[in-house]
Amino acid sequence: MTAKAIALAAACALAASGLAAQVPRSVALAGTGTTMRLRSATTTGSEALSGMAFGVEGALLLRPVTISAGYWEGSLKPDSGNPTPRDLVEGWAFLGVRPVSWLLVRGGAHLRGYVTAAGTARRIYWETRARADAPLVGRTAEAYFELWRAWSGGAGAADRLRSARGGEGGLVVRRPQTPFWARLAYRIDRTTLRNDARVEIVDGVSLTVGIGGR
Amino acid sequence: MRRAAGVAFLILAAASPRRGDAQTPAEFLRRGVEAYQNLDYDAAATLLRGALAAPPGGDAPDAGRTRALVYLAATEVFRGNRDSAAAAFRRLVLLDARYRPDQMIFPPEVSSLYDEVRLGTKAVSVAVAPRTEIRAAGDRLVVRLYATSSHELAAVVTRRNGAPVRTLYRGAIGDSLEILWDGRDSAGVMADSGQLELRIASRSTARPTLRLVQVPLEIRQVRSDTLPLPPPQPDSLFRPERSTGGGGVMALARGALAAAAVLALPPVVGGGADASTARFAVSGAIAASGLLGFLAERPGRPIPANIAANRALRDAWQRRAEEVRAQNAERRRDARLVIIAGRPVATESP
Repeated sequence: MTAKAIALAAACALAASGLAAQVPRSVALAGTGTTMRLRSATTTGSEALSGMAFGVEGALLLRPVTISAGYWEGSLKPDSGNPTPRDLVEGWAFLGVRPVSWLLVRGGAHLRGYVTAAGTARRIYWETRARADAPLVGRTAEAYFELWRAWSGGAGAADRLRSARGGEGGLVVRRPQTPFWARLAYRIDRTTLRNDARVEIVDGVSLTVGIGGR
Repeated sequence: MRRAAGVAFLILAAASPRRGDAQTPAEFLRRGVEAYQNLDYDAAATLLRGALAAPPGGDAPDAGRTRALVYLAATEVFRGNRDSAAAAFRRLVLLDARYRPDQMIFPPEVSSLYDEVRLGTKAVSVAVAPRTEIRAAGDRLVVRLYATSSHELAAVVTRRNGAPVRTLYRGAIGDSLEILWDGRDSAGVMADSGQLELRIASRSTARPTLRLVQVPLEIRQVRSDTLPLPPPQPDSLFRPERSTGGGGVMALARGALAAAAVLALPPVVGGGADASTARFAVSGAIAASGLLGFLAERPGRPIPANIAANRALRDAWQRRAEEVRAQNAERRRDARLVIIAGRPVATESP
């Protein structure tokens, strides 16, 4: 599954130069590689897994409305002990609006799945996110910071979702006079299941390379 | 008897306090011609001289004076006064060099005397348009000269004091001649506004000036008004060309804030959980970008975009000014000359 994601991201990267001339400025396409760390704690113990994930994302900018979606997948391996290795699959789709130029408010569905030989543990978050952008070096480099909170969701019958929140901060660098951009970001989220009986914290650093969307 | 009647008529006419139709040159002329046709040459001579007594340009028009002179000359021929006839013909030739007696009215002896006088008189009549406008390069003042007989002449534009401005012609004239003036002096410079004269001197080998015809020329140089330069651009249109540093400080502050926020994510969101140390790299990159932004916007740093925008503004003004200067130069070159020609005045050299 990870190999497929890498191939997809590579294909996107290869196609990027060709797409650059064709993609309208209201469309953004990107490929992402990210480190993933999962820290899961229950009343009976904890486990730590980490790995890499790769994926793609895109956005349609109909100012002030923004529609964005993404998908990535990767494998998590235990850092210590012998928790079960698992694949991670994640996808999201958001509808956002920019009331002012520096603020993006969006909401939508965010899905995450842990795939093991025993089955798939799914998490569904209905989120609201708020993101602030801050130019640092003209329009060449911008910092951003985003916080989100799930106002509803699900985690299956066994792992009922109690709460979830997260945040992300990073730097977007645009190459002047071209549609290319890159993003370096750190993200973390915390999911509480079954009345605090299980807490999952996922964090990682991602590097995204994209075109368009300015 | 008839002569006495004519003399009496003149005396009565001169004595009358009011000047009615009976005393006008036209009436003298009409009665003089009648007397000539009735072969009453003495009365005709008296009446025709009465018709010519009015000064030229006065009540007697040139056509009337011409007619009076030719009848007077014919009258003197038949009275046997050849010298008086020649004198009248000479006045006639000087008045209108193109005049020829009507062969149907006057017998050959009259015509032959006229031709004799005409050939012996060296003079020209001048015809010039009362108003001439010289606008383009090919425009000219056209002066047509009609000679009584072939002779030498010189046509010179002079100032009122006689100082020459431009010699238009020096040479022979046969029957007629057309001379042109482009409104410029001998150096090629357009004449200034003022009063000039066209002097046409008929000459012979023996005498440099037999007769002079002076045509007053009023010169009006008309130039289009020049356009003012565009007003200087107000300072408010120009952007600052050097950074005041405010943007740099803001970039530094934003970078520091965003970097700190990234570092604060694990304790705030993750509840103090063990977080990836890679977040420090992200935080550092943000802070470094903020510092870069500060340096890029440091106080006094030239702002190329603003410098270029200001240069474009100045260049646009300069271009407009150049256009105005070019238009003004064109307008200065485009000066018109209006020449108002007066009535030619002939004078005999003593």
